[in-house]
Amino acid sequence: METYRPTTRSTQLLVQELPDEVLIYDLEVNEVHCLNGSAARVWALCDGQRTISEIAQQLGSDLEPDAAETLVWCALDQFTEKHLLEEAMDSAVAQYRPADMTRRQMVLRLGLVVALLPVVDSIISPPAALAASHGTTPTTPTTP
Amino acid sequence: MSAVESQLSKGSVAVDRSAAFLDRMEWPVMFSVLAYGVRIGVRVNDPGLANDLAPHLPPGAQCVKFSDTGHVYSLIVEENDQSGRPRGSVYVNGTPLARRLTVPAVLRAFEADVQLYVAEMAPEHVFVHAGVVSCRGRGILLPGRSFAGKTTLVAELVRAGAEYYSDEYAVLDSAGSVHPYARLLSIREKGGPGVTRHTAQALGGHAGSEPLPVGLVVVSKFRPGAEWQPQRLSPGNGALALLANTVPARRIPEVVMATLNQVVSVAAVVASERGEASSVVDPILELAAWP
Repeated sequence: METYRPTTRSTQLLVQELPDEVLIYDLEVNEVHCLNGSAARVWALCDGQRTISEIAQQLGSDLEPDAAETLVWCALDQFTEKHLLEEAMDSAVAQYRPADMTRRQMVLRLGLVVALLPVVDSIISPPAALAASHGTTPTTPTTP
Repeated sequence: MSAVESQLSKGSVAVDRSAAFLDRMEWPVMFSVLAYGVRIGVRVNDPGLANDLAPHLPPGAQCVKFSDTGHVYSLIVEENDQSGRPRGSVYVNGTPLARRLTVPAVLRAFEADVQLYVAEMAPEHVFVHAGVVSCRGRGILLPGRSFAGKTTLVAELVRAGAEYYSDEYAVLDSAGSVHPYARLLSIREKGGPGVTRHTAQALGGHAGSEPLPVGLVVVSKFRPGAEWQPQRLSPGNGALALLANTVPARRIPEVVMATLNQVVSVAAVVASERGEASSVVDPILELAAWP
């Protein structure tokens, strides 16, 4: 695990930083993600230089080291699911993640500090026509 | 029979008209429409129909000399149907939007497509599908798609004293201010597919005319009997809620994200289901009064 240094995807992403969150637009699949504060802090530290424990230490939280690492894995798990890490890192997360650390177990471990849970909310960016109204207008040509 | 009439009587029997065919037709009325920096061409074969177009153009649209900018609508009134009513068609660059429908249906199809095209292509504004009113000098955005009940809510807010800005699009500039899109309010008739159109004045209110900073975003959907329990959304989740209703989200995502960031950096965003519009007007106006 000490050799694993996660790296965020560097291509086809538009990143917009908010005061305590990050918005990410994935141009490949037109999905938009909102990383909450915890997820955003992990995201910022996934530069390919830091190990999991280094990221956990640098989060600056008051968590015990084990809990802080759990938090990092919880964020990485979601980054993987949303394809926000470099491609090779997706499988690496599954390879290096401790075997006893399923998403549910991570959430349970961090359950007492819900405010610290990393969360990635996502939507599909709408095509123009989907964002439109005009429900009474025929949208397909009509033949007699 | 004129050349155009001859073409029409032949064409109306069966075939779609290609763009080239349409270009060869004689058009008694041709003009361009300029709205929010977007120019479209319009050709009409019936001057009578041309007179009916104005209410179906985007608010503030200017009619100018025709020029082919690559997006041309061709509106054609054809022969009467069996009941004696005229039928019409509308094409955009040769692609049929509506074919052999009643004239009002053709005009609605034209209006819907023109407004959507302008909303997607506007170079200096981001169009979010939302109702908009203002209160105390700040805009209130009510994002939502069809049948979310936003026009009903806008109408109730206007009746309660809010200024009317739009029942269709929040038009945002790069600073995050919202501009009027003051078309007539289109209120659906109960139990039917039709709409009736009203001015803000007819509802006892008035329309705003100046761009305003956004003070409040209300993410809400009508559900019969639902209780109003607003939850504050984070700026990021507020931006997601707006982006889900943003017309050019895929065309210019970088601009959209920067603009929505401007909005949520100053506006409170709340979300809740709601029951009847009249029951949430006062709570929304109270929220808008927050400093």
